[in-house]
Amino acid sequence: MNHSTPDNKNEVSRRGFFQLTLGWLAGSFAVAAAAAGTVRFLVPNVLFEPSLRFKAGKPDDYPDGSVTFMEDERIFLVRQGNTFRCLSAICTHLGCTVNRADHGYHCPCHGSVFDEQGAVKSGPAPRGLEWFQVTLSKDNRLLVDKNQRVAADKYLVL
Amino acid sequence: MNAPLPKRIWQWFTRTRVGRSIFRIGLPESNLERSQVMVSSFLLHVQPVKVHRHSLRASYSLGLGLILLYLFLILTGTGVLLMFYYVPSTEKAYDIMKDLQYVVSAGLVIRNMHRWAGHLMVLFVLLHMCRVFYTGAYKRPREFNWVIGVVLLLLTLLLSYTGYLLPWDQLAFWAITVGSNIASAVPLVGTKVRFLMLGGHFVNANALLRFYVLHCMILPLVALLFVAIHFWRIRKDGGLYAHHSEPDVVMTTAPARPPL
Repeated sequence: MNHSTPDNKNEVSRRGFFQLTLGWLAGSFAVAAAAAGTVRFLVPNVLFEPSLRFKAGKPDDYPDGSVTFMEDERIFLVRQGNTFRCLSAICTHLGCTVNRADHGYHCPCHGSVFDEQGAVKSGPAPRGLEWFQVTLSKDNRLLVDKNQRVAADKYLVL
Repeated sequence: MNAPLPKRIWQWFTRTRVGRSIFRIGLPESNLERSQVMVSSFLLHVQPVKVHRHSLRASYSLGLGLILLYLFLILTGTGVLLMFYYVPSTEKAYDIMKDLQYVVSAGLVIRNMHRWAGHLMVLFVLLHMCRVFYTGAYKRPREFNWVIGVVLLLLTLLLSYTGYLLPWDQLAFWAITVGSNIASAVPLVGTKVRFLMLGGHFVNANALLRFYVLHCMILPLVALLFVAIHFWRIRKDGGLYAHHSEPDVVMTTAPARPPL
């Protein structure tokens, strides 16, 4: 039974080496696989969240020069003449909903102030408010896509 | 020798087979038996057999750690009671919270006890850490127990934070919106951490359920484990810290070096 044990007790035998290596490898693999599976389990595959792409009604629903706040979508729809734009109402600081103020927007949480173009005037916000792409759907409705960020000077012109 | 009746009943009971199997020692008469009582009892073995007089002074430790234990017990008791009514659903949670306040008998008291004990817990953890710092009780050999204490501080803050969302009111919603956005500021993995934490892109039904499970199951169990280690370390490190009970540290001077 002891034929493979070397004389020096501190020396690891060939069998002992493979037992240790394989044992630790198998153990580490099992732990890693269980951890990876657990984390993956916690990442939901299906989300029951409102679509980031939605129809915002007919262009004529919005009077000229209006800034319309949509609470559920957390956006402002801005109409100037025949141009339409969509401004995110989510503060770039920590995600509160900004309010319409006299000459721009104001965040109630930590006091960031944005101008009409969504640029930061003061406060802790690191970036200006996002602008989203507005297009016209085939049935003549405004189509906002919050996946598509655009520059502040990009309009939908009708 | 005519002992009073309760004592005689006690002495008879601890001599019976049942009494002996529960209490082992009975009423201690000598110092040896006193220490045997402490060691053989689950509830008493948390206490050291001997305590330094210095560390018993209320003005020394201010009892802050013990106060924290009591707050933890209050929070566990009232928290379990609240769980009999609370449902972590976005449709029901707020209404149930209001029912607990105005419909359920004693609901207002129990909810408020839970709320205030939660606030006080954060406060007293900080005070306890100040006391340990200012009395130097974090020094050798108690460094590791300080580290466990820091873990317990984090667990307390996480318990407080996860409990914050459960009333599902405006304050809760925006506090967690802001808080989870702070988490997304972590470099590289920030947005993923936020997504995992909320179970989605927004504070929503998934987030409420996740925070509920964390608040009622995972964090209390982890906290309990660390509290147990914290207490065990106090005993192993020689009981409550008291300046004069510490062994004198041998002061050595650095060997004189020849001038360069």
